[in-house]
Amino acid sequence: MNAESAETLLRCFRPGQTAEGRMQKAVKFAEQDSELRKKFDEQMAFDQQIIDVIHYITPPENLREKLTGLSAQPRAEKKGLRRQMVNPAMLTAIMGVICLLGVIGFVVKERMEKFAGREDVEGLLGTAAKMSGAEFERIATTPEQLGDWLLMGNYEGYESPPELAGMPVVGWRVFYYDKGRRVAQAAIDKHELLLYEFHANDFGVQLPDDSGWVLLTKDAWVGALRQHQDHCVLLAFLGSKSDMHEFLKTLPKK
Amino acid sequence: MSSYGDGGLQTALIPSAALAEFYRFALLLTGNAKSAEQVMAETLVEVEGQLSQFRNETSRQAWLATHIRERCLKNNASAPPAAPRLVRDDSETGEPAVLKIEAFLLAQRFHMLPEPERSALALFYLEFFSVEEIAELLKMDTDLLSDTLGAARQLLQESLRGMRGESAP
Repeated sequence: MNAESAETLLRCFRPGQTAEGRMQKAVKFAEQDSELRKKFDEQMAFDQQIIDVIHYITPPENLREKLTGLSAQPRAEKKGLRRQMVNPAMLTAIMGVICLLGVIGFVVKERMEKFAGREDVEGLLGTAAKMSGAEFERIATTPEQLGDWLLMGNYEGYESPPELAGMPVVGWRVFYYDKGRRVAQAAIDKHELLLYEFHANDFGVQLPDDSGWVLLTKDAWVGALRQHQDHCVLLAFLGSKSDMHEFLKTLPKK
Repeated sequence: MSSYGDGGLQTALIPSAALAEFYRFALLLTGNAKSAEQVMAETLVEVEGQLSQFRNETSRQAWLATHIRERCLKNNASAPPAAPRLVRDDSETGEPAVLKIEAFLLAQRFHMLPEPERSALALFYLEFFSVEEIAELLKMDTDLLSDTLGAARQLLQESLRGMRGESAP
């Protein structure tokens, strides 16, 4: 045994402890090593002082009762929650609510997807495939500046989609779709996007007001439609619904 | 069933001396009496029903000490060490009040030690477990425990020296 190993052992020596085995050897080693002995004596004196003080700490006389009282409230809450979660009635109720929410979600989704006027809007989307680009009047402006041009083309009540503000418009036209329904259209020089705007009443479209975009496809084209009062905005480009989802994410919030 | 009836805790399984030691342990780790009591109560609720599964008294106490320690550390994480303050005046028991106060101030100084030094020294001073048991409880070997105890003593000494300095006029 050397001074280092003796010191390692002696750090774990408690005052009043009977030294046995290796600890006894360490104590004997310390008795013959003045430096280690000094350290050990100081350690023992310090430990004894602290132990004395610690043992002066007396728990409250009614500790058991206090602990029971303190535990009563959290215990009741904890058990209550646990029990409720595994209670068959509670589980059934939770399942019922989940089912109901599922049904409501399904109905809302169905209503959104099978909205009135959907076929006409899909037909309108289908016209994009037949376009060459020559149909447009060339222009360099932004969607919010299009109102006057469209008015000249006999489209009244244009409402610029705020999500497209500032985007470069390179062409515009007003055309008549099936049964003389007027449609405003603009070509946007971003994502080869086509912007359609028409009046909901003309197409019999009934979507919840400002309920967000509804996606629809026709041939290789994908469209995103939303309604605000009598104004319907349809964005379209060649691609899939997931492409449109990604594109819509890039648009600023209204 | 415990002596506290259906709604009571199984503290009856813990001897009074052990309960007092656990209280001191919780006090040294949390630094104040209120937190120590709260931690013990919460721990006993958590382990309720499992205490009786231990046939060996030492295993039961080691298991309980582990849970109390974990809860104390969690409590400390949410409530960082506060400046020393007196938390209880036990002078009515007839003991010298000054010594009581020193004991609680010591607990607060203990509370400010880092882990695992604080737990190691608290368990060592409480003489509750053997050195080998403390090492096992703290998941370290005895050599590392020895180093930890050495460092903890030094930190506590420095802290107590600082306390004397603070109380000096």
